[in-house]
Order: sequence, then structure tokens, then C-alpha cells
Amino acid sequence: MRVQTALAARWICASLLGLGLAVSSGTARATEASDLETRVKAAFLFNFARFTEWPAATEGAKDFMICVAGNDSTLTVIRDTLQNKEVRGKRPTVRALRTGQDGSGCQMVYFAADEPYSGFGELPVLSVGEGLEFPRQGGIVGFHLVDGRLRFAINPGQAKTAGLKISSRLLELADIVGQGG
Amino acid sequence: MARFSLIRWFGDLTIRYKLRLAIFGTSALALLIAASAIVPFQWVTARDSLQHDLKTLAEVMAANSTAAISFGDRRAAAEILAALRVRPNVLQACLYARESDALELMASYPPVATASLCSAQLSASNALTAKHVRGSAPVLFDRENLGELIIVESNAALVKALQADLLTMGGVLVVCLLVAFFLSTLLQRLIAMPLIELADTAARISNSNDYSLRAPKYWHDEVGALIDTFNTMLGQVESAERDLREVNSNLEVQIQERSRTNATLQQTLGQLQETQAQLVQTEKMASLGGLVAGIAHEINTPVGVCVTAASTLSSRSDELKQAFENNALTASGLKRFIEVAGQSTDIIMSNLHRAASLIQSFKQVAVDQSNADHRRFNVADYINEILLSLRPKLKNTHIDVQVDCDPELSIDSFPGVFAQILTNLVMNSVVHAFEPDSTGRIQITVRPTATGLSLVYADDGSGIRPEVLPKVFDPFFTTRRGMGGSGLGLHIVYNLITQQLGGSIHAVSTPGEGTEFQIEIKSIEHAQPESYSRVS
Repeated sequence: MRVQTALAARWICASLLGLGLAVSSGTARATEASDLETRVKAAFLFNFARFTEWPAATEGAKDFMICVAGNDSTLTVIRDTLQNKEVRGKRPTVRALRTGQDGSGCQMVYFAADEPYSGFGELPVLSVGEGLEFPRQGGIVGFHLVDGRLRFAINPGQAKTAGLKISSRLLELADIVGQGG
Repeated sequence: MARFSLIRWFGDLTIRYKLRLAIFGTSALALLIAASAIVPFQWVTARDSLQHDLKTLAEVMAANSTAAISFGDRRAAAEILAALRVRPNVLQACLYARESDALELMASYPPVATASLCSAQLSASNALTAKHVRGSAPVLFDRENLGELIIVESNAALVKALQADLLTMGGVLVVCLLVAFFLSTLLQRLIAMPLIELADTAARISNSNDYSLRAPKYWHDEVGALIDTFNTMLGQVESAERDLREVNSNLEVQIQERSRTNATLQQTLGQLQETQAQLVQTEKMASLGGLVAGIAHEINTPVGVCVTAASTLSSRSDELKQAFENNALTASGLKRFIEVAGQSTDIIMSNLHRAASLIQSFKQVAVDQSNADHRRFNVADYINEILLSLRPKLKNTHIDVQVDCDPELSIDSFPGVFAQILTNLVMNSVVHAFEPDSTGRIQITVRPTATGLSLVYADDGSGIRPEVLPKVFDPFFTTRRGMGGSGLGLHIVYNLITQQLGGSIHAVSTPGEGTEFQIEIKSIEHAQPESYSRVS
């Protein structure tokens, strides 16, 4: 437990540091930078899961299912990052979400940049995407960069529609969008 | 030592101050005790409560900062800590994120320039320092320890609360002392005033001796009972004093009367003593007169015989002369004359001798009686001379006087006194002991003693009745008043023996058998000096 916690903390610090490096080094080393950025986002995904409550029906599932809509490298990075982690006593399972699949069976879906997203409606899925527009257009959480720092925006109304309870502490850190926010 | 002097100091205070001090002291002490219990208790309670508060605050803020730590959001963390500004006493707050096994500072309050201070706080314990209260809480989330939050607050609030407590206590003390003042004033009226009045009354009485004063009574308590008793005692003293004064004034009158009577008595006594002395002198003179009468009577006989013989001789001489002138003188006539002349001369000579010897002996007694000087004299001879002078008194009686005395015995004393003693005793016997015609016997026995001589004078007369015996030496006591008894004879004897001769005399008598006077006489060298200075 202590090891995991320590690791989590290290990721955060490392990722933020890395993020800074990535921003400063520009796009010349986009692939590496993208890797690091993805790892930071994976840590964020893990934390989103920790600060969110799913309806009791889905909480009963054995594993915590994280579906990733993106290329394989992104999937691999996220899977590696979340290895040996626990969300409320459950091991997170990372799998790919192919185009056309609905989100059923997934508790969280991450849409990498440029991945098409149509919205899950009332399905209890925490959808995370890129950009401020993502939560405005049917998604719940969207990553964006502010002054070189990774931040996220949340649409609480969409989360409510999905039947998810997002911790107020998480909301405090987020930029609120939708519902006039 | 100091304790005793403090108690003595308190004990010497007036009751007024004692009461006030006791009430003040008690209330102040009670308050101090209460304060000394309450203030630390309040302090500890307030401190515990503050610590608890701080801990709770730290826990709440730690819980609030879970997301900020999870996402590494320093700005959000700083914002969370910034909420502490509503607590002005917070000096410092530090939020740490757990990195590996070490803690890394995430945010601090106040935001600037406290990073170094925070690193010092990490190693500090939760213990309360002199000026600070420290509360810390781990940042726990989902069974993970994400970090640590430490809040340090100054204990200004505690000090303020303590000050408020002390101020309240002070206010209560002042109020209590005011109440105590009123209470003590009231108590003073209830307790001290009656006592003070009582003491005042007592002092006024002792100053003025006016026992009609009374102490005023206020209440029916113990002091009231005391005052009642005091007043009752005053009443008793007053009446006793009045009685005493009355008795005193009576006594004074009595004393005045007594002293007046005494003076009269003294005067009477003086007169009496004077009279007595005169009487004694008179008696002495009478005794001397008797002696002279005795001498005259005694001498009268030989002188008379001489006169007769001389006249016979004279007439025979005339007859012889006539016969011679007429030449009728015969030889036988001359022879007869010579015989008669010889006889007459013999008679005259012998009688003149007798007269001369009588005068000689009387002369000595008379000189002694009128002379107070002492000399050495032969006791037996002197007794015989005295008895000779008494012969006229004894001649007509049938009293036989026997003297038993060593002819050689002599004593240095007052012969005149001695003579008067013996004369008076003999005359006493003659007058009182014997009937005029009865026969009697007087025995005088003289024996020498170490200091003088003892003389026992005994007669076998009628004796003295026992009830009279103790009074025989009293002046003017006589059983023959109006029959020639002066009542001074034995008194003079007693006085002469006890005072002039320094001796003693005791009378022993059996009625019908006789009286015995036992006399001790001291010679001049053994007598008391005053014995012969008091010559009467």
C-alpha cells in the first residue's frame, strides 16, 4: 500500500516535471513528449476514478474497467502506468475501445485526441476526452493545458445524467463547464 | 515564631476589625482557592479544546486537500490553506505530500517565505510550546496516506481567555469583598456592637464607679445572655455597694462614738491611775505613820519608867537635902537614900538603854521606808526589826510569829520595799485572817535561791474563798470595805514584788486552814534593770 501510494505520488511529481520538460522542449520530440503526457494523463485518470462514485449496480463488478479509445501505444502507456494500482480495492483493467463499440462494461472511457465521441447518454460511464469542448459536447471530463500545466474541465450536469457522483474536492480542482458553468 | 506573632497580632485586633478581616479573608481565600482550581482547569480545558479544534481543523483541511495532493495541484492546495485566514491566530500551516518515504512541501500558509519554517515544523512534536499550539493530521484518502498537514497557532486565544477568566475572577472578588463589607457591617451591628457597648459600659463604670449604669441589650443571643448576666451582676454590686456604704457610714458614726468614749475612758483611766498612785503614796505615809505611832508607843514605856524613877530619885534627893540642912541626916537615912538612888539609876539606865535600842532599830526601818536606795542587809535581823516595829499591832492579838531564816543570810535589795511587803502581809493577816480574840500562827520561811531568795509567808487563819482568790491582788479589792480596809494592801505588795523587786508572788489558800503567799525575790544584780528605775 505504502509502495503504491509512494509510486502514485512519484508519478504525479515526475509527470508534472516531465510535462514542464515537454512544454519547454517543444514538438521536436513529440513522440517522447506524447508518451510522458499520456502517463501523466493516466495518473489523472486513476485519480478521477478515485474521486468518482459509480452507481451501486456497476460497483459490483469485479474489476474496474478502463476503456481507451486511441492508438495502441497510448493504450500500452496507460496500462503500464496503472499496473499494480487499486481503485477502491479493485484492480483497474485497461482495454481498447474500438470504433463503433458502445461503452457498456466500461466504467471509464478515455478518448485520445481526434477520437470520435458520440456520448454515452445515461450510461454510467465517466467519459474523459481532450480539450474544453469535450465536456461541453456530451463528455464529462476534458484535459487542457493552462500555462504549461495540465488541467481538466468537468461538466457536472453530464456526470449527473450519467448517474455518477464526482467528489466536490475534484470539482474544486476542475474548471466547470456546461450548465452555464 | 512569625506564626505566633501573626496570631497575636490578629488576637489583639478589635472585634470590629477581626470580624471584617475574618469575612474578607474567608471570602478572598475561598475565591482564591476557587480561582486556583478553576483558572488552571479552564486553561487546561481551553488548551485541550484548542488542540482538539486545531486537530479537527487539520483533519478537515487534510481531507479537503486530498484531491489537490492527488493531482499535485499546488495552487489548489495553497487556496485550501488560504482558508485559514479566518483564524487570525494561525501562525503557520504546512501541507506535505508523501514522496517515496519523504515528505515534500506542497503548500504553506502564509504563502510566502515560510517554506524553511515548515521544514522545521516537520521534526517538531505535537507538544504544546510556551507560545504555540500545534495540530497535525495525515492526509488520508482511499486507505492511502497521501501526506501530512500541520497547523501552528499562537496561544493568544488561550491567553485572552485566561485574561478574561482572571478579569472575571477579579470582578467577582471585588463584588464579593463589597458584599463582605456589607455583611461585616451587618455582622458588626449584630455581634460586635453589643460587645463594644458592653466594654464601653464596663469602662465607664470602672472610671466613674457609677454602678447604676446598665449595658444596652440588642439581641437574645449568647452576648445578650452575657449582657443580662453582667447587668444582674451590676445590680448586685450596686445594692452591695449601697449596703456597704450604709454600713460604712454607720461604722464611721460608731467609730466616732467609740473614739469619743475611748477618749473619755482614757481620761478616766489616767485619773484613776493618778488617784491610785496618790492612794498608794497615802497608804505608804499611813504605814509610816503607823510605824511612828508604834515607835512612840514602844518608847513611851521605858521613858515613863525613867520618868518615874527619876522623879522618885528627885523626891528622895530633896528629902536628903532637907535632912542634911536640918542636920537631921541619919546614917540609916543616907543608907536608904543610897539604895534608892542606886536602884533608880539602875532602872533609868536600863530603860534608857532599852529606849535607845528601840529607837535605833526603828530608825533603820523608818529610814528604809522613806528611802528608795538599795543596800545589802541581813535578812533575819531585818525581819526581826520589822516585826519589832509591828509589835504594837500584834501586842493585843494572840498571834505567834515564827521566823525560819538562816541568821547569816543577806541580800542586796530594797530593804524599805521589803519592810513594806512584810508589814502589809502581816497587817493583812491581822485584819483578815484572824478573829480578834482567836489565837493564830504566822510562819515566815526564807530560803536562798540562785537569783535571790524565796519567802513563804503562811498563816493558819480563815483562808481566802476560791472565788475571791484570783482578785486578791486587784487594786481596791477588799472584803472589809468600810471597816478600815483600803483594798490596796496586797495590790501594793504585788506591785512592789513584780515591779520593784523583779520577783513574783502567788497566793494559795484553803478556806478554814489558812493562806500561803509564795514569794520569789531577786537580788539587785539579777533583777531587771527597770525594776529599780520604776521607783514609786
